[in-house]
Amino acid sequence: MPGRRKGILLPLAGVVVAALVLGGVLGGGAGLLTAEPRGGTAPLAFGDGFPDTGDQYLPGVTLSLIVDEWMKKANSYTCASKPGEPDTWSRAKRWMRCLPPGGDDNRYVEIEYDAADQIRVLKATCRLGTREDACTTLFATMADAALVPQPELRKRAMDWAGKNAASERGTVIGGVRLQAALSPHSMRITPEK
Amino acid sequence: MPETNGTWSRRAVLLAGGLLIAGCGGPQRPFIQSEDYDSGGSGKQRLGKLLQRRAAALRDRDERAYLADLDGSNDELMRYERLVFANLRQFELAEVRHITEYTTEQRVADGESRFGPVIRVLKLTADAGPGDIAPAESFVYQVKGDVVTGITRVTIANRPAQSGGAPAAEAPWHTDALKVVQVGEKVWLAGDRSVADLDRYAAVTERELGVIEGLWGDRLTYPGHVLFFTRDKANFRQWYGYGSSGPAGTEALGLQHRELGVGENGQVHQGEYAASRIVVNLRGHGAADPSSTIRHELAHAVSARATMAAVGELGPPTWAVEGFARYTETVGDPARAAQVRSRVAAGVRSGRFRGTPPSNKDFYGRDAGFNYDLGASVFSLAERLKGRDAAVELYARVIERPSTGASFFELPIFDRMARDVLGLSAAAFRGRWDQFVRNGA
Amino acid sequence: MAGRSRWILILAAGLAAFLAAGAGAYLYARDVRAGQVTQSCGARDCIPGVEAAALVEALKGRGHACENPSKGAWSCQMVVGSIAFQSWVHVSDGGVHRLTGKVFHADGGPLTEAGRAYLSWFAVLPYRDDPAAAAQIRDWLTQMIEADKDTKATILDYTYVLVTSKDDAVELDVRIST
Repeated sequence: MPGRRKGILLPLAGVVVAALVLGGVLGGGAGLLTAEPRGGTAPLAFGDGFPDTGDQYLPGVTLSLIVDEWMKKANSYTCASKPGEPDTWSRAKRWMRCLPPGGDDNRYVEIEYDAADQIRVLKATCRLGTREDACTTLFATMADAALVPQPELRKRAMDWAGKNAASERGTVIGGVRLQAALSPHSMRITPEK
Repeated sequence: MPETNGTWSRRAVLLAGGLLIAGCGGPQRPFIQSEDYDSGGSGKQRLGKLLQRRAAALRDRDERAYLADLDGSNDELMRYERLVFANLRQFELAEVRHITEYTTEQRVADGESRFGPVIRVLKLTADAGPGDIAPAESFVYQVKGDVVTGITRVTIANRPAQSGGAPAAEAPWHTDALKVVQVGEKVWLAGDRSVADLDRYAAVTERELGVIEGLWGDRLTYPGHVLFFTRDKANFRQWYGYGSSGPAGTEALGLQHRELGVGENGQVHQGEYAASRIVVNLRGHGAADPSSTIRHELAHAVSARATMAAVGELGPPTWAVEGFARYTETVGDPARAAQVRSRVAAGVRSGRFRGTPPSNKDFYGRDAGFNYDLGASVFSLAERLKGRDAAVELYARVIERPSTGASFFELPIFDRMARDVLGLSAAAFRGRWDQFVRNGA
Repeated sequence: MAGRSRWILILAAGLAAFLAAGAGAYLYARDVRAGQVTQSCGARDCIPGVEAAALVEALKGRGHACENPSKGAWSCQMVVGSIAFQSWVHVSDGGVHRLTGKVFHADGGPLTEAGRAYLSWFAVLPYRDDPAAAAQIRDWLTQMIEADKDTKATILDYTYVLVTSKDDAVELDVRIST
């Protein structure tokens, strides 16, 4: 009896192991080939809120609103295009600088834009002193001009800019960031989403 | 419990069956396995949270919370932090927060790091800056895990080694147990152990502040004033780090310290002073009344916010700053006025008068005493010409301007000031002043 | 009789083993494949169904400027006021094997709505077919950003690293676990 058992066990084990391996490989291979991975057949779609091209620009603000209405008509500032790109940060294609009458460069406004209806940055700088009314007024009227397309927010923006002109504070009103700075004394207006 | 013991409920059977089927369904991995991650900035982030707790504790005057994150076995650290807490809780704190924007981490041992500079904004209700600019002090924190094992203050002496231009922590509350007394709405007097009679100076200070505020009117000033008193020579030297040099040498009777503040990112804002502190050297006065010193320093303090923030020749004329403070000492005090006049006359006789106000460079030199009195003569003359308000207005305009190193009286801007305030050309004023000084002021 | 029946027994056992192993392995492999959220791309594994070029084009369409300085990775950027939206698309054989999104706010404000939408778009990209999984990932991301903590997570085949500790920036890196 023990002899016979031994005689069958060895080939049995050999065949079973070989069959297991072969079955496993073939079965596994077939399984991998016939099934699809579950992720990713859908096309690339952007959800709500993902930043878009238009977000780069101040909503509704145009060059003529700033240059003709606010700068020239209201303040008699003279605006002139500057060659080259304004800075590497904003990536604007063009820029302009506006100076008060007499060319006093202690006060100036910079406009960084891609096209007449694509304004990226409005920035006013005033080196007359943090407590000078002229600086506060410049900043406040700029905030007002930037919010002209959203009339119901104009007063809020203007009040905020007047109150926080001499600070390093910032706020966002109607998708527009008003950011004050002290060195140099300035205010920067940009879109924010 | 609807199910009875020993019987399989239907629900249990269904659940077991469900699990069996799910188990056969293949590998079920937990979908999101989330763990903390050390990005290299994480240590600083943990420090930031710890600092937020400490700042809140200081604001809330909660000593337990203030000490909670410290290594209790470090006696020196605990003693120091208890001292600072006990001192600061006596002041009115308008703002406490930390800035770690430029803080770097240096690993010193396994799991232990040193962080510096950690900037603590400490704004008293007496202080004011443009926007949120506020006075600050810097420290180096040593942290193991979440426990602070050491805090070293950054001082003028160790600053270059530890942290560039970070504001130094040289205030009296770091070195001595202080007793603080609030007088009225906006004056705080603080004395160290050498001053047992602090209350004596309360009335004096209030009276002198009244005189100075009467002169200064509604011009720009700080919401409040802080005066430290000491009879300890070493403290007079070490507080605010003046040492034995400059105008604040140990012989001085008092000093007024102007402090620049820091902006949102911890960088020192150079535009204007964010705070003013006064130190009165009672030892120097002996038995004499310090009221004249207190008035002098308050004249600096009240006008410090309107004083342009720069030093040396780029700063405002020292003759105006010190001269005006000396001039205020003579207001309503004919004896003091006569004394100042006679000292000017003596200086002129000994050939110290050169026809121009002294330069910033030479002011505190050999003729310092004479220079204070000579500076005062400018405002005495202005008062004589156009009244006291004109003297104050002239001062307020001069201290907004840099001294430039040349004779201030020769500058075109001074001509405009003289015409505006005194109705004279600069040349005419110069002539009158020369005469005034030579004739015994 | 003893000899033949012995061989029949052995063959039957072998056949049974073969079938059992084959069926088991087949089912298991199908299951692994179906649960797998990667696909091979050259020597690596990539996000299934995403062509690097198409992804870069899509980003350009949303205002990004993209460049490919290092061959292996595209870098795209878009500036909205004081916020820079940046992404890096790591390419292998046309597929994407690693994706990094970063939102930097120069004025130091908190992460904006658009910033959150930006990072979560990258986060759910591998799972965009599976709304339940995508929702879970979005929740996880929101929680971690609110907790303001540096976090590493394993989400099936991917390793996510969220770094909030850098000044004024939040960065999410998504790569296939090795």
